[in-house]
Amino acid sequence: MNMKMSPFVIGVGATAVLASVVIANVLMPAWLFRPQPSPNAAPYTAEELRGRELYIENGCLYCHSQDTGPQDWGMGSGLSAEPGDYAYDSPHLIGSERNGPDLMREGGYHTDDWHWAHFEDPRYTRPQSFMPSFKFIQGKDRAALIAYMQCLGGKAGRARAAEQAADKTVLISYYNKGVSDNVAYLNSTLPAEWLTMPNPVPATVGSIGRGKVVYEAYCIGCHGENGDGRGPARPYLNPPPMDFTLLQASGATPNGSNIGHYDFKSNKVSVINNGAIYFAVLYGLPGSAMPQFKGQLESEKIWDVGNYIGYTFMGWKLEPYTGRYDELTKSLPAVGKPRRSDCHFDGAPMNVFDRLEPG
Amino acid sequence: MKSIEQIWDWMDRPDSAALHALCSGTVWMFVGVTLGITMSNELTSPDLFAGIPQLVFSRLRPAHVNMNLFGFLGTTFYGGWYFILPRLCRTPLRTNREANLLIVLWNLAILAGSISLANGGNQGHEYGEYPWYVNFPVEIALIWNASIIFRTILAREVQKIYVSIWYIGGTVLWISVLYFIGHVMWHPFTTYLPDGQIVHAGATIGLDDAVWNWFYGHNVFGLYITTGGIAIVYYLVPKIAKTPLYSHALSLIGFWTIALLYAPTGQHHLLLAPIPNWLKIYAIIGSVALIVPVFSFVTNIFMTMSGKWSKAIDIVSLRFVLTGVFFYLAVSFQGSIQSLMTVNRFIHYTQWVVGHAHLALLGAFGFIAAGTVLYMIPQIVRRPLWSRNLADAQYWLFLIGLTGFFWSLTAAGLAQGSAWMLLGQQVVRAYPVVKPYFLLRSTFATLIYLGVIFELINIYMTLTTTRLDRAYSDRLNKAKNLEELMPAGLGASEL
Ligand code: HEM
Ligand code: HEM
Repeated sequence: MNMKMSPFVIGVGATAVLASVVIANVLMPAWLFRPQPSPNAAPYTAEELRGRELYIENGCLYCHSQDTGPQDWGMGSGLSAEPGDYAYDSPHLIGSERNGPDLMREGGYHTDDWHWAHFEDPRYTRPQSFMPSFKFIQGKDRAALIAYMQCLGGKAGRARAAEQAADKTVLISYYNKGVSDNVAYLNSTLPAEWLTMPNPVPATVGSIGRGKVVYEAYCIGCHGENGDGRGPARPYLNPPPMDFTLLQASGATPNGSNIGHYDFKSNKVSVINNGAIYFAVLYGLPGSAMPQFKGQLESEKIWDVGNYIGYTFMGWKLEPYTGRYDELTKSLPAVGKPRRSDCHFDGAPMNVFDRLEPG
Repeated sequence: MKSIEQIWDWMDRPDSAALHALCSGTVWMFVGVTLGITMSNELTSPDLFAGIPQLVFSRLRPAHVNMNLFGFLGTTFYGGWYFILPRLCRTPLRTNREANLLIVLWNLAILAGSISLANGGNQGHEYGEYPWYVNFPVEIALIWNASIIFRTILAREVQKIYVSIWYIGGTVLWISVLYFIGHVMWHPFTTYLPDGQIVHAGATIGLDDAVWNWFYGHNVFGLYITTGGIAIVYYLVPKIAKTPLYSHALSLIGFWTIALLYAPTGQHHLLLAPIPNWLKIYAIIGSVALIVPVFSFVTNIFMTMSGKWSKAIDIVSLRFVLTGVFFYLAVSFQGSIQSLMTVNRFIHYTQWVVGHAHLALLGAFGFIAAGTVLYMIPQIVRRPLWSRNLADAQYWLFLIGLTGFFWSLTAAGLAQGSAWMLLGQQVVRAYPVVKPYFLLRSTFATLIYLGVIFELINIYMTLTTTRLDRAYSDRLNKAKNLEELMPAGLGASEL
């Protein structure tokens, strides 16, 4: 091969090659690909744009993507990003890493006060988080940043956020009426069957032990070490996190058999059973800083953490192990039974991830 | 106080611009890696500098990335080009004074850009973060640099143009265009559209903006760092090994295909985003076909070394460069595979990509840059490297550090990908999973940091020490003109 490389060939050739690609790869898309705003997309308000600027200035885009895909379970109601969703974005903030969660549909998944505590110190609301503290963003700026968080997810996100804000005023009014009324109201927001739902996971030593791991990884920042709602996030939250110890006097059993004792008029301390806890953990309590954990905790872990809270803070009694799992092996000869005691709390099979990774 | 004449004289000395660029690059490496270590520790102890806005992880990150790309690799490569060109063209740089001024401007721009990023002045395009008041000086410097390079090439006193010069010539043109596109420089001010929207400075709207962004983002690696580094490898390897380049034809193939195939690959960063499929396919085809320029370059270099590998053991700078070439092969191979849709879905958004980025920029081109500095500075100051042992230690620290760094992030990325894609877990579940890998990364990064400090000491001592090897300095001092310093082994047929 003998091609003479002169300055002309290099200069013009190199430029021509690049130019051809620029035409095909940059100009052609700009010309051919002009998505119209999707039905869900909406322009930003001035405050949201200010928040968006803070998002860029502080580099949030390096750890949070804005690109929900079909693989993202339980985020944004299962919507995948479509081209028109970005129609109002300049610059785009798709991002390239997920050190933290995708934020494309963040609006309305947390309340404003949750965000306020979270920016102060992410460990307040999420003990395992390694996001930096942004406590230097204060006052109006933090409010703007939160306004931006709440508008993510387009019209649907804004609707969620508006619903949360409306729920919040109601929750605050009930909180101010005292714990019985408050819990009664919260219970009334849950489907009735869940209030009397028998606990499918007995409050055994094993379950409680596993529940503790979950509690410390997910709940402790708000509800506190002693379950009294005095975690570090408390000063920022209104209504404040539930104080489980106030529910102690009820003497409820984990199976909710005391549920009938509850009396609204006598202002008797209320009762919540594990079904109520389960539902609140699964979907959160809209209007309060209590977020939903449905994408984050498997079913058994939620029952476990309920058992931990009930046993440790609310005076539930320990339950004997009922051997549900053993029933499955009933037909096996006794000698053939697997020995589980060496690696489990109580013989209940443990998800391997429980041990590798708390929560 | 020196008079202005003295300053001009000082700037006119041959190779002075190269020396200053190489030294600046080394200092930027130190600062950039210091930022890297800081960030790495912030990920494992997030409250390290809690409440200090300038030191928050996500503001240091763009400062780190841009400083390493433009400050460390960019400046070092300028030094390398300024060193190579006069020798291959057998004519002084046109001119050393201009190149010196350019390096001053360039360093100031990077300093300003880093300070601005730490204070929140960020345009929001990954790799295109510098704000407009930094972009203009940078763009001026890039164009000015292209003019210096091309004036030198045109004034050459050898007819044939060696491969290195093709790459240098191409690179300086490409980056001038790419930088302009990537920073959307025709749009320096925020504008307000009728429906209440703003178009941010340095950005267009919607997904198009993402397409422009990543077109530039990938080309800053492909047509700036890669081609700029390859130029130096093509010079250093035959020169230090004292052997002619293996094949002219392979160089030609490599040069023309790299521009054609690298340029459209930017969209492989957006494979999960809803951009048009034809753009994704274009990018994937380009990414896989990049095997051609990569293999032709690597084959060319390794065949050049054939029968001479013992030199790589004896000569530290050559060893650095060749290890860099090996990492380049590895990272490109990894790149081609991770652009495939099935693979990308698994590793995109994970730490795997950060591992890839460091294997490329620190592994491949960081090693090449270290070899460049360790070889060229002693040549320029006509004094042997202060300590060969220190350089050797640096090599092993870099090698062990980088390998560990890379594998810990790759493992972290696979763990994240498994959690998200196989177990359907949300991102928050992976926090405790990646933590140990982050700790490992910090540990290995400390080794690299030590190596960087060794290099800094070595260069500083080489520049200032008076302890000279008599025979060596006599020989160098006797060489009156640049011609005598011409690379041995670059015979006429290779030029
Ligand atoms: C000991 C040395 C280094 C350490 C500890 C370090 C650390 C880091 C950290 C913590 C990040 C952020 C990753 C994240 O967002 O999760 C990062 C990103 C980055 N660093 Fe480094 N770094 C080092 C050296 C370098 C060098 C020498 C270069 C280039 C020559 C470099 C180029 C980059 C790039 C391009 C990114 C962005 C990666 C991406 O977007 O995927 N780093 N580095
Ligand atoms: C054949 C060659 C290569 C191919 C096909 C390739 C492919 C890719 C792909 C697909 C990604 C995106 C991964 C993702 O986000 O899902 C990526 C990221 C990256 N590549 Fe490469 N790569 C190649 C070589 C290189 C080289 C030589 C360099 C450096 C000079 C480099 C530097 C980077 C950096 C810094 C990133 C991280 C970008 C970010 O997310 O911030 N790559 N590469």
